[in-house]
Amino acid sequence: MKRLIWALISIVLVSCGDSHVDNATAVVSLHSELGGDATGYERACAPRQFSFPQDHQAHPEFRNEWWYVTGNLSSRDAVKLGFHATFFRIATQPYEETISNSAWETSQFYMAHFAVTRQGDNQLYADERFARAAVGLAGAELKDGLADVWLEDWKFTQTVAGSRPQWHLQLDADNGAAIDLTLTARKPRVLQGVDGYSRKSADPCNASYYYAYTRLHAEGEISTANDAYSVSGSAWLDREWSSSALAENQVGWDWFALQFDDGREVMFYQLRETDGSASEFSSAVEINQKGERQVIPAPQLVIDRWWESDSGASYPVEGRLIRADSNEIIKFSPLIDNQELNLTVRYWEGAIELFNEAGTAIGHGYLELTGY
Amino acid sequence: MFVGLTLGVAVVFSVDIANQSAKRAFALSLDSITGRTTHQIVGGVSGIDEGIYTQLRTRLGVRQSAPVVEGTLTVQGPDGSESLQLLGIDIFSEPMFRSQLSSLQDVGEPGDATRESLALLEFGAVFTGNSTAARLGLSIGDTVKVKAGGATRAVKLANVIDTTHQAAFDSMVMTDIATAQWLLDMSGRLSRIDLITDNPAQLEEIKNTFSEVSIADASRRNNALVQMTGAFHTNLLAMSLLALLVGAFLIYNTVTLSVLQRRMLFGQLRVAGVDRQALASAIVIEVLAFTLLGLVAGLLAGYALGGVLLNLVTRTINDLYFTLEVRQLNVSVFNVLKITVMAVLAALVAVAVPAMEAANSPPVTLTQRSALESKTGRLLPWLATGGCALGVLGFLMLWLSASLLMAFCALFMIVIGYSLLIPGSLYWAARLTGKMSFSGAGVTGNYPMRSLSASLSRVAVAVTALAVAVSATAGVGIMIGSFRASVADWLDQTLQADFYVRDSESLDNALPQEFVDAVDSLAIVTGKRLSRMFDVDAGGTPARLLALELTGDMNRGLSLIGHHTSVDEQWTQWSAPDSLFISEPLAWQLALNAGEKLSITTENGVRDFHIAGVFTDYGAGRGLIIMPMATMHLHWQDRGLSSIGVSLNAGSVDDADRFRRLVKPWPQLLVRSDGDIRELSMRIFDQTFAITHILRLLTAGVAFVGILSALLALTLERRHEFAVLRALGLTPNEMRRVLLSQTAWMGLIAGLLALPLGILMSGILVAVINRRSFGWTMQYSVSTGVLWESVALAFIAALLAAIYPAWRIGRMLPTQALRQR
Amino acid sequence: MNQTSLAPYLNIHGLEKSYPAGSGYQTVLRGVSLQVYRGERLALLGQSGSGKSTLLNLIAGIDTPDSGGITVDGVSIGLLTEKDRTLFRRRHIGFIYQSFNLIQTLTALENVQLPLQLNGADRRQAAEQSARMLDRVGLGARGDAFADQLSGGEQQRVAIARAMVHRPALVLADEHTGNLDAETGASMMGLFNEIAEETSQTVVMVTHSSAVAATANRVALITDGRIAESDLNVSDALAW
Repeated sequence: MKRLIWALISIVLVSCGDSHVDNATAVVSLHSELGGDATGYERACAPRQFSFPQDHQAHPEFRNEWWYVTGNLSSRDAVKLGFHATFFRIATQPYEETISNSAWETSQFYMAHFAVTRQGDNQLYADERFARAAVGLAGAELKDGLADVWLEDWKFTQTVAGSRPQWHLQLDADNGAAIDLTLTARKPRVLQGVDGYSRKSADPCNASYYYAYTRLHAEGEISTANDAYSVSGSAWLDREWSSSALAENQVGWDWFALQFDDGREVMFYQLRETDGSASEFSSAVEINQKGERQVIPAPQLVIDRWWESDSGASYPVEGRLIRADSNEIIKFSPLIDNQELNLTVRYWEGAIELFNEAGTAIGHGYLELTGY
Repeated sequence: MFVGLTLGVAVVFSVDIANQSAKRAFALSLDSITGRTTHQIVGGVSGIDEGIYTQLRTRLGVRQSAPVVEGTLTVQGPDGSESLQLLGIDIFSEPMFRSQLSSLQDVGEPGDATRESLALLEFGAVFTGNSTAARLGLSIGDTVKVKAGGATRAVKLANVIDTTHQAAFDSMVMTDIATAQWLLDMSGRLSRIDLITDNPAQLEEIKNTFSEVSIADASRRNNALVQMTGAFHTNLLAMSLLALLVGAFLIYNTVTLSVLQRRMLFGQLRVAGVDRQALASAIVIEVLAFTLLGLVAGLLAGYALGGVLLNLVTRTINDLYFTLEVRQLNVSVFNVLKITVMAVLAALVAVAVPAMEAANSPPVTLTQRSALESKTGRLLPWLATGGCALGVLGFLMLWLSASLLMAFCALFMIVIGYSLLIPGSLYWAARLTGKMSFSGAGVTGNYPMRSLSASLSRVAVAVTALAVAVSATAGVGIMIGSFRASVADWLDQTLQADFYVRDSESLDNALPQEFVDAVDSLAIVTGKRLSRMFDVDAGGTPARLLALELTGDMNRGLSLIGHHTSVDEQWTQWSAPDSLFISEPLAWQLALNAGEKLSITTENGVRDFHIAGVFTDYGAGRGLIIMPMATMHLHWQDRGLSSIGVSLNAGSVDDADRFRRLVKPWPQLLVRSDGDIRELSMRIFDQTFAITHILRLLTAGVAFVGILSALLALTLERRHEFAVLRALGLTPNEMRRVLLSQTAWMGLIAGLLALPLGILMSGILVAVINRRSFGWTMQYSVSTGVLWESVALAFIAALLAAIYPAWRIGRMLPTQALRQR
Repeated sequence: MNQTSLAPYLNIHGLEKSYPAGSGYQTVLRGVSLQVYRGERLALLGQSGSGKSTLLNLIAGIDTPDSGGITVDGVSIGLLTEKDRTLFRRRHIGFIYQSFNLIQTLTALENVQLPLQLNGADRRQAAEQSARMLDRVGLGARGDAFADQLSGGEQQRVAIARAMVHRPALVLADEHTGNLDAETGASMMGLFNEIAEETSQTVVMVTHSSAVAATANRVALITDGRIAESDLNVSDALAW
């Protein structure tokens, strides 16, 4: 997923759009940035050899990178909550040529987005931060063999290494929302695309390196503005880095990270083109109970309900995915409608609940809608 | 009528708007420098470790914090070079802090603004104000040479900021913190960290975590700055109020003249059957219409004049306090309203008496003056009583209240009170002089004096205006004279070394150690004055700390005030650990005295110091603290020197040359002889008071027009009488002499009456107002020269004003005047 | 016919004077010629606007003629500078106005002193002489009163005193009793003539009162800016 983020980052650093900017235009204007001149940066043009724990830390020779965590939680008294915490790294120059001896001089910057959703509320609690990767303000580096990702006091810290790693995720927003969670991998790491090489358009170098932990057990505390909960649930980590990914005709995407109660996960993204059709580079995979990954044909997306936000954008928040291989129908509906993040960049990123055709709950997940 | 009104309005208006513009620019620059900051984390001379900011953000989670690296640098453009303030910021920590960033977003598309501000992130990119760029001949994208700390570097002008609404940017260069550290050689250091917090627990936590820094209350820092310049503005305001007073007199005079000119006409109108009310309201309406016309002309002229004054005001502020550039006049509706109300009120008061008189008198007696004059005569005791009462009240206020504002109120009450006494004094002086022989004038016996005292109501206002204007001139003259003498003495006492060497950019920069060593090994040096200077937080207010070490035959060069202990005893105390001297302004500001304690935030935390003495200081900026170098080293790590003063073998030209040659290898160092510094200081002093000279001249100009219009009124009114005199056998020249002798007398009396008031004013200015404004004690000295000048000014102003009326009176044909009868 | 064999004290010939009026000029005098001999008291009779007052102003040198000449005691007024003309007037001419024209800001005594002071008299002497003069006109006790505190008759007496205190050789009087009632006017004329005769002053008085004219030696008649008759005796004039 997280194509969106390419847009976000570029918008922030290049055009700095806000909710008044037509997103489509903003995204289109980004293509030269993202799909275009990546001269000087490393590029993802072919599969590579991953090595851990090194690949948990930053790859500054690539233009962009993220650590993307989402999750569905429930409290002891069964209040359903969702969270979304992402650390983005953005390079403004391919080479770190320092002119001065000022520690502040850098071309690496971090942005982080954080949101908490609670069932029954009519809005989510979202916040964002920026910092440069200098003087210790932000970074993603190994410390004693463990990856430490932070932006000021927002932290995503690895606490256990190995094939079932563990992280400590701790963020708090100015609006009072906060999370303090321990995330433990229940399934091994999944390399997406072809051995972690995820191609996004016809140009083989419009691609990223992409791995994920699709099922993490989450346990800890979460707060909204006024209430605190002890929670447990499951989370999902996506790691991706790249120097160019978008094609010129791609305007947005719908990205599903689905966790079924029977232990399976499905990741599905559909890239939308300027003419409204789905790109051939849309992709879907299924991970079974053992953690084995299998590419599946892209399911058919049927939209059942649109929701219009205060900012005037309409999002397809409710609908059905019809699997082409098994004809399984997965109905999805949002935990709450208003999960729009109206930050420096506006998009919809929300917790969803999954039902079968009969309406029985079968799981939950996160849905990202951009370009609306 | 126009001239009088226009001039009166113009002077008051220009001073008002110039003052306000400077003040507003000041507030803006304060706002843009410290913004909404409530507290600042500050350190010693070299600032604070940048790691503190990281800790603040990553460990303490203090979100409302922003690092700042600032200093001065010289920007060189094709069209010139200027010394500007460099403000290095971290754009990601800024948004809520500084007004220029939020208002940057007011420019054009919101997206554009942020995009523009992000351009700062590029290393070596700087922003500056568009007017600054234009002055230096720079455009966006240019590579610009900047000089700081002796090194010249190239930066890129990434953008300019529209300073129409951002006056503060006129004198500022904004850049990323990395670029700022590079330019200022401050890697690893921050000048300060700004905080927004109202949480005492958080402040306490910060204090406990970082013992080496101090937290200053930004509002107190700002207040200290506001207070500093506030005093200056208050002094300016005083001048403008004086101008207003004189201007009001002038408008009164002018309006009266315009009504008087047409007394005959009004009489005829009454005869023709125009009723009283109609006549009175016609007069009032007409006068108001003229007043408004004069007002408009005056406002325009005042606006033009305001630009000139603004430059002077700004220059004074720059000389005294800090770089502030304002090239824009700021005029508010309130300014215009204020002046309009003043002018209309003065005009209404002025027109009331003649309009009533014209309307209520039987037509026949309209032309008779004696009725009006006897009314004036009856009014005199009341005026005098009122004047005395105001004066006494003014003195009571001075005595009872310690506030600056009250002192000004009191001063004005005294001035107005005194001016109420002037008509009475004039009347008695006229009677007294009238009794004496006036054969000097050749001809006319009792006539000139008698005629003058008979025109008292007309003349008194003009003479009062002249007297007040001249007294202001004298008062301010005496004050400045006293001040200048005090400063000169102080400089003589302070400048004990033959040469002073410092870094040319800033006293914060330490002298190179090799240079210090070179001076040490120079045999011709007979004494040294080593000093280190930096900002500290003293009792909650920012102050300059001067650490001092004197060797060899170097004299102390401080003038201690207060004599409860001997000077030697005070110096002995000073040398003891944890003792210091404070400057008089600081003592005044903190209400502290010798023998008391002063807390200073040192690198070891807050420490109490014993105040061994208070010394005279005429620096207008921050208060000054002087402690022995050894004492400073106990509490601060810094071992650098800001300046070295050396004394050489007396009078040896060779030695002086040798010393200058010694400094040559360090181009960033500045050598000044004591003479240079004295001269420079006195030049700054004189420049600072240039504006008061101009205001004095303007005030005198207003008074001059006042006399002129009074004389014109007089000659118009007395046309017939003069015609009779001509018929009786007064030659034109004798007629002129009558008028000139009357005027000379008026000028002389005004000059003489101005003296006591001038001396009184200067006394109040020196002993009360300047003390309350700046904490300066001056030696009060009245030079007879100033007094003579004042009398001469009044006399000459009056005589000059008489030239035109005298010329007219000589040319008058008696038959016409006689026939009009 | 008290004509003497001496040259006339006041010789006026061909005097013309016009004033700007509206868009053009109004001619007031159209060639006036007149001789008055030393010690004569000449009354000028004429209607309003006939140019009598203008003639007096020209004689006094307060105004200058368009053409023609005036000699007083052999001095040609027109040839003098403004200053000399003023000095001549100050020394040799006394002028009494119909509206008195006292200086309002001076006392009665000070008003009378003025001509003496102007002629450089000693201050004390001037004061004494003026006081005597005020006594003569019956206002010895009112010397300290200001002009506007005096009645019309009193003011006129001060005006007479002022015009004659320095013993001018020529006294010009313009309707000097015009503002007074008949009785006061008569007593005033008596006083006036008495003083004039004492110092054999030459008097030219403008009047339209027969009572006043009756005190003159000779009466001249002025009509349309010309002297119509210059040698009438009083009864002729009255008849005329």
